[in-house]
Amino acid sequence: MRRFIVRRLFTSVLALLGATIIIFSASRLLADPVSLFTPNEGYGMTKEEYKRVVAQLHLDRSVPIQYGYWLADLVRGDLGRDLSDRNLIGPKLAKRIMPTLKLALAGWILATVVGVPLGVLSAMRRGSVLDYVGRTFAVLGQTLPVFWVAIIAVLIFSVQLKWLPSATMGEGFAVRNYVLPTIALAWFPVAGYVRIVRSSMLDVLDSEYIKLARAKGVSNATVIWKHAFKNAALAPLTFAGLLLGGFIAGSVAVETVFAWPGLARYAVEAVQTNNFTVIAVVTLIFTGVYIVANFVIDILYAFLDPRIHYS
Amino acid sequence: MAQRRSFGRGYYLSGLIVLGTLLIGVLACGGAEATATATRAPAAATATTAPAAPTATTAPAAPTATTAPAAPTATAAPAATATRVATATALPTPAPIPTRAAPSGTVTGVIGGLGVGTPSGYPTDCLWCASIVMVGAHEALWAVERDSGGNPAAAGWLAESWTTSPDLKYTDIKLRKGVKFHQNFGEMTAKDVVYTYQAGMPTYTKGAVHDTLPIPALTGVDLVDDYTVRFTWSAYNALTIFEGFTDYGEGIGIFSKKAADEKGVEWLRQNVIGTGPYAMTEWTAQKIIDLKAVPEHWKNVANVDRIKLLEIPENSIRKAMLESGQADMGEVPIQDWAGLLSKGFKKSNEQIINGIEIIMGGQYWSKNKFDTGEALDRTGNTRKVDTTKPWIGDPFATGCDQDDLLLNAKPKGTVCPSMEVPRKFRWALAQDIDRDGITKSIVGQGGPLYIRTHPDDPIWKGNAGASRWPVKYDPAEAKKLMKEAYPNGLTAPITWWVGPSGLEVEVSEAIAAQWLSDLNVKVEFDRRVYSAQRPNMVDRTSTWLQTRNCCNPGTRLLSEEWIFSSAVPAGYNHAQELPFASKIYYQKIKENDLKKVESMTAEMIDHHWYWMIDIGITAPPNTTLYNGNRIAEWKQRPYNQFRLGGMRNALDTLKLK
Repeated sequence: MRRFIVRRLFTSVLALLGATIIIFSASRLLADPVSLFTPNEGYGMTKEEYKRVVAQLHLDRSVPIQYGYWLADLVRGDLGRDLSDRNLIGPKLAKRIMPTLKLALAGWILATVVGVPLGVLSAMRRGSVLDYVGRTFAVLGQTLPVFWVAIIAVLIFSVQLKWLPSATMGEGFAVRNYVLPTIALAWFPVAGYVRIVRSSMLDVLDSEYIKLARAKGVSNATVIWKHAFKNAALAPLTFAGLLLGGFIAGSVAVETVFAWPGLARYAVEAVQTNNFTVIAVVTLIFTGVYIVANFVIDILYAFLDPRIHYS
Repeated sequence: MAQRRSFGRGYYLSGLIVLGTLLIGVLACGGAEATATATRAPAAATATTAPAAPTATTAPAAPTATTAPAAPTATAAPAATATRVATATALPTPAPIPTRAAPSGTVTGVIGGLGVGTPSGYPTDCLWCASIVMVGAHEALWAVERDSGGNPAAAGWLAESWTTSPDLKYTDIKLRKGVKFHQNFGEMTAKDVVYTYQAGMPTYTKGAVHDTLPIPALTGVDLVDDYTVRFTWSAYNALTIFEGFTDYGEGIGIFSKKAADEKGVEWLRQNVIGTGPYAMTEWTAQKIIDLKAVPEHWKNVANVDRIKLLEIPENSIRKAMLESGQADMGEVPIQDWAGLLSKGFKKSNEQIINGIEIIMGGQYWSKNKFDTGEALDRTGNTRKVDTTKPWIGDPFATGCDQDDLLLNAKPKGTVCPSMEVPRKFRWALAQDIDRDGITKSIVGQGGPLYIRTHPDDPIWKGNAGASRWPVKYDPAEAKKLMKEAYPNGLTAPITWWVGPSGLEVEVSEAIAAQWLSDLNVKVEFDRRVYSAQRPNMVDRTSTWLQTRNCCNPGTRLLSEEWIFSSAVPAGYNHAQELPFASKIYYQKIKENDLKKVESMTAEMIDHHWYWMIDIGITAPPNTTLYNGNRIAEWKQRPYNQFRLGGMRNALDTLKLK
């Protein structure tokens, strides 16, 4: 296992390095980055100013050399400056990443604790009212757009009932401000969990060893949770890992509707304004999150399924 | 053994799930609202009447689009206009007000967008730093106030008095004494004023990026003594201070030289030090402007201790926050006003009329700066006349008399095809817009706008604008002009920037549908956010139609011709560089005879109308709504542009019930 972890770590670093090459190259395919330095007054740049900016960004060197400069800065912890206001990206990212992480974690926990049991129950009571409720919920969850769910939730719980705030993170750890964004964020994946867990559980519950366990008189709870769920858990586990990564990287709709000052909105704004320094760094973070999530899932596979050997 | 371990993990997983459920339960049930401002939504109150629509303007009988308008009649300046201009710089400096009780309470405002970015506390790279003045953290030399006639006029703010030399070459400004910078950075003196302007003006500091500091009229800022500064002018008129140095437009505030000397540039970029009644504790784009009242201030100690302006991009969520009591004042779409007003919300005392218009971008008809003859094209600027776009005229084609076309209000001779064909096309588009229908069915308030100048503007009224600059709704005439311009029709769609959402998008979509139906003109909408296409307007490479929903179109006496000219090195531009606009601009900034200023303005409108390069659509009112059950008073001063959701001045006058 140790060898596997070391090897997997090594390939993860390689993947991250590959990602940086793609990200850097893509950022250079965008419009002339010097144009972003065009001052807001005057008529473009003088030739001298243009040359100065070109030299400052190392644009007079070949792309591999530029990449080398960029990577060296990155390793030193210098993420560069946000072109929109010339401020350092590092402190701005630090402010953005925590709101996103907090919301992502809350949404992930909610989706998991609601979606997984609902999927199991739906499979256990196949054809029952509970099963139909679960399946209906799954269909609704996957068809209703998140932004619509979010706005309706605000209208009901904030405007009409006045139970919860409509938007923003609040100040400090304002728990009530998390409720609606968390529900909106978890809405779609709960449906995903229900479908995946139900389907996996039905496969497993039909297998011979489950029938044998029942024939031996093993209690229903033990059959379900010890024998069936454990074997059905691989697919939901993959979903859970990628889900957490997706929450961190892609909760744009929720962050926009609830005015959540997170990473996704920062990324979207950077894309809209061709702010290539921010795009590169944020994309790198998103890539890193997915690589780490995959790494963790791979290790968890070995714990969950003894048939999987890493050697 | 292995089986036992697996069994344990299964229960461990179940335990985790249960624990998670409990956590969510706690999340859902526990915790008090940390936001101190949450208040009950206002109880329903008497419905407030919607604002009166601007005077209805009957669509005039239009001449054919190619017919030049009748020669202008002699323009007598309307009395009201003359008064406004005459008093623009004549207001006395208000005396300091006695200190009030200690500030208390919090007011929360909600805004669609805080602006292009986060303003810097370093004047050299402080783009949009006029916004710091607007929120009350900075103070400028002059402020805009209403004069005794109710007209906006410049009044002293940090400037206690000022004297302009008889030859209008310079103004000596005496500064108010005893004005303190935030965070104990000492008293404001003339050194701070000189530092601010010299750090912000590209003539002094390379790389300075401020929007309007490079006002060409201001050529020098010098220290006279500790409390006196001299501004040297290349041109000066009765409106120079009002237009360029007050918070009506984008006059900037005074930065602390001591803070710059002691803390350095990087610190300044993160910290805004001003003299205003509020100290800025945070300004984070996409999140918040957070302001804390300063306990001592030379003029006003604010009533409200803390102001939070939150950026909430979704219209429906802003409205929800107001209704649920999470916010006290906000920027809401005009369609939502009636509902909120019926629930006890009130309109701010200041309103503006926004102009929604279509700018026919890409008319780069200048090759040289008008005043110096210096070539305009430099590295980094690829401005060109893109003749592949059917609405863009090319005055440089063979056979065009450029002087006649570009330097007269209307050409006296024959117009060459490269200019005439696009002009007919633009007129076809302009006459295929049902302005009354759009105003009534989509906007619901306000009135139609025909060209850039509002029908309520004294210049329009004084020149019988409806007959001098008629733009009628006439689909048949539009089709005829389209046939003359492009007999075989257009194959490629026209590119039209409208932004991602809002009233202007709805209006543009309605117009596009009509153009497609009547003229078979296809449209490709560019829905990027404003900040994404702004760089192309700044560096003058934009070559597309743009719908603008901005600013009061009733201030045409100001020398705003710089917006569509190459007259001044101010970055923002309407993707048009008209030599005639440069000519009028340079005439206006030096002219003190108000009748002549009005006459010049009317000539500019002639030019705009003849070439039809700004198509007016509709002019809705715009204001900020606030919770009348919580806020007792808010005495806003006038403004010209609905920036920061209209919550852009006099926050220190807010008083809670």
